[in-house]
Amino acid sequence: MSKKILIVDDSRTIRQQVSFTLSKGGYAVVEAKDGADGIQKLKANTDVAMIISDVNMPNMNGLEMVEAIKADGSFAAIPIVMLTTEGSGELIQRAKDAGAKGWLVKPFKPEQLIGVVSKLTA
Amino acid sequence: MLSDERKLVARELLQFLDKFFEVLGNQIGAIRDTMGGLAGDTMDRLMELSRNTEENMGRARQLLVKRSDEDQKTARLIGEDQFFKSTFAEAIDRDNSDSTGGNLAVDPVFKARDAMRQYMQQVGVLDNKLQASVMEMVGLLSSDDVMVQRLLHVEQGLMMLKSAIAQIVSDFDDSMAIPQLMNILKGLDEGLYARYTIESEKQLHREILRKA
Repeated sequence: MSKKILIVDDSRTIRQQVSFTLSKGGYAVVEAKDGADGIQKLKANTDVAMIISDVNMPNMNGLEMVEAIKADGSFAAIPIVMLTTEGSGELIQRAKDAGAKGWLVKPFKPEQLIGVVSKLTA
Repeated sequence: MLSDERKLVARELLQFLDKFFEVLGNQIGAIRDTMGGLAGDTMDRLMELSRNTEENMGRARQLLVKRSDEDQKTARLIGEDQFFKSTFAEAIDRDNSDSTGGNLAVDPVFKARDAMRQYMQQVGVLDNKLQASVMEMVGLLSSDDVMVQRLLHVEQGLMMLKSAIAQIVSDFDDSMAIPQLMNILKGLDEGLYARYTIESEKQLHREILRKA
């Protein structure tokens, strides 16, 4: 069975692009449009193997979502990678401290994305 | 006539506006470059895709022609929908009428299967190349999010500037002195900077607006 990946991004086109890339890599995909939606989708899909999230989003941003997920024991083990236009050392450190496993900068390279997902879901 | 203080305020404001518009101009320039690069790279991939399709379909077609040259009757059917149907139908007929099995090397079913296998191999190579090009294009298109965010920040910067100018103009005759002006401009500078989400735009802003 395909491993399920949750993509959290307020940009519909980015969700489409990441979904397309991952589906070609053999993964199943669930989409969420912000951090709050991401947590809801995670609760509805308990078999999610990994989360890819943007940082700047309305309602609940990516870092707040990471902090909330890691604080909730049931999902704390799921690896999370940030996919964002941001690149400041301070934010990267904050994400790392919150429990994120990686940081990819947009525009992304499909083979790099699949490589990261493959490594973290192995 | 403007007092010396008002002249100073006006000069400071103009200097700030000059730099502010340089920031916005650079943002728009970066968007233009990204769009240009995106269109150019996408076109390169599309041309590569088209070239690969032509080359590989040509090779696949040659394989069929080469195979079918051995059989003039079949060769006449190249390019027609009936090709595979006829080849297989003929082979099956012959197979049915010959219960001894015959020689595999000249068996039409064997030849047709082999031709089809090579054809499918070639089509498979083409499919892999097409998929790789499509994936590359998808990656390139992800730069649209960067452009959207930059455009949003230009729009937000203009709206904030409009509010700041309105405030400066309304107080210009009464209380607008250098400290008040600097306070408004500092708010504009910090307000816009706080909205940035891309490292390069933060750096650009610092280099132009906050340079000593």
